[in-house]
Amino acid sequence: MVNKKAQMKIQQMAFMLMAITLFFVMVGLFMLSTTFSGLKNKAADLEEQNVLLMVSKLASSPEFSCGQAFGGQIVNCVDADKLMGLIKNKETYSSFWEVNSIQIRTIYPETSEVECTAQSYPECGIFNIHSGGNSAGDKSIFVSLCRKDLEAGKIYNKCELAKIFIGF
Amino acid sequence: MKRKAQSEMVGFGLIIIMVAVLLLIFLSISLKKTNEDITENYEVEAFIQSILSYTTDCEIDYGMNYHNLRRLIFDCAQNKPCLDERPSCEVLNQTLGEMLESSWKVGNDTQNKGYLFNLTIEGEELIGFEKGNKTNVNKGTSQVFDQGVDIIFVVYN
Repeated sequence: MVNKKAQMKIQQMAFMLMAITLFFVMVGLFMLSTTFSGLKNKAADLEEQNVLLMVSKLASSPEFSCGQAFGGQIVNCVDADKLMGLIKNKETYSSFWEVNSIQIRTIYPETSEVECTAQSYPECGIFNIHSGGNSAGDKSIFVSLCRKDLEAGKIYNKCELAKIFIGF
Repeated sequence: MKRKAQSEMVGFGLIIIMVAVLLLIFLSISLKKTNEDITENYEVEAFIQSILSYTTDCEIDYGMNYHNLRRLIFDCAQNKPCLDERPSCEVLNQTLGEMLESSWKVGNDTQNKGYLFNLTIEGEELIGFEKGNKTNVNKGTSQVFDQGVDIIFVVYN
């Protein structure tokens, strides 16, 4: 009788332990599924961060940046005169860029939707540096578009607000 | 006897379930993703940095030296006029307003639902622009300069 009672107790404890183990396994599986369900979104956010950093890096590259030409004090500065050089040599640079498209548009003051060429510069608002492929994934960032301007026989620095659009 | 063992089993099971539920709640709160998006804040920061270099039409002297927006802000704080006698604050107000209109399209059918731009000096508002609706999802930046000048710009999505 005593043995049977003890055996019953042991059996009850064994069932209880199995049930608890099963329960914790289910809880663990549920937690894992919750954690990993956000991973895809996190990967997409990280990729977007990397893309925007790349846009900023491109805008700061020697091919675009103002360097010391405008005093070296301007942050996010793109040299418009350099852009014209890149446009003139578009074919040479076509395989240089690791992106699908690069375009810079003047935002303020508002200019006409005229593409910048040797004839229209600086009375234009769109610099097509590189175009090719599908640019459905365009990312953009604000930059200062600066150039040397001539007024009353004197050269001075003129900076406008623009946006650089990168197609991936 | 059997009933005593069964009631002990049930009680123990209930405790385990309560602990597990509390653990789940704690984990879900600690693993919750924050709303802050550093990437989008960078976009707003780039805007502020870029507009500060903008060459305005407010001349310093007769040598074709024009103020950039950053210099114009300090002149406005000191109530200095441009060479053509226009108040620098008037030029600043007009330029900033037009820049914001051109750069951030606001509306119900656009990504941006509104924005708030505040230029303060030692806590007092010098120039302020507000457009559209405020929402809980936003991206913003704050730039602090010398002489207590502070720019706050928030874009609402």
